[in-house]
Amino acid sequence: MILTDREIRTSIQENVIRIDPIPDLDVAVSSTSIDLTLSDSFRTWSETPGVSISPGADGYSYKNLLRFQVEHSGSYKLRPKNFVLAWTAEKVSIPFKSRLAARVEGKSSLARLGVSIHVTAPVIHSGFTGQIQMEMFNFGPYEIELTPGMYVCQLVFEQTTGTPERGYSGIFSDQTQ
Amino acid sequence: MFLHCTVLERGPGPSELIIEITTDNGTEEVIIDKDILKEDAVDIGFVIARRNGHLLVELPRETVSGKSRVWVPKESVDQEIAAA
Repeated sequence: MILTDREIRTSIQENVIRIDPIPDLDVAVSSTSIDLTLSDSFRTWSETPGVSISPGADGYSYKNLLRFQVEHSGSYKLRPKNFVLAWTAEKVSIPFKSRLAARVEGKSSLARLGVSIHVTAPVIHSGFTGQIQMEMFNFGPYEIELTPGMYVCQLVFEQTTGTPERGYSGIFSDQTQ
Repeated sequence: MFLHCTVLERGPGPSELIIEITTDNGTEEVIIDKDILKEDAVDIGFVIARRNGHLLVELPRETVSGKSRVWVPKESVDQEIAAA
């Protein structure tokens, strides 16, 4: 089941969902989602010839790839057919006892310009804490300026039918196999 | 329960860190929010399963190689982390 506007507001007020800073709920909450805003941090991958990445190989290290990342702050102009990592300004926390999970989705205002906000990784698991990473790509023909503070994505909260195993101290968590 | 880790570096996001954990199959990097780091450990909730001195745990976020649940030596998990 998807949380509606009233349930989202109640969940935030009762700390079942934590969002910091709390957006202006009057305008950020809509019927079945809450809008989040863009932070001023961006990272791009430098175009380095000859780099080949094997994420499935033993010893794969993201840390070793950081040297290929370029940091940007402030507004960012996303050129056509370009990719940038970005983050929400808000930190979101969904305690694993909340019986909630979420999906981050794009907004039609950006989608109609050709900008997507994730690369097939929209699930925010129960237990997540952090600013939400977005993998933004410009499919459109024009440069799009990404301005910190702009509404960039929306969170849809879904109720789970139980508490995940790592939030449950019952017999199954101590079973010996 | 808390899984011990080593902080490797600042992460890509503004509030992120890259940590390293030890699993039964070697070390793994995980990108986490710095707020969930307690001393040198991260909260993993309850253990999912136990087998021959090893624990199956679910990580706060998937490892950089894509694993959400990993088997770890029981010595790498503590019930509580003492306050600083």
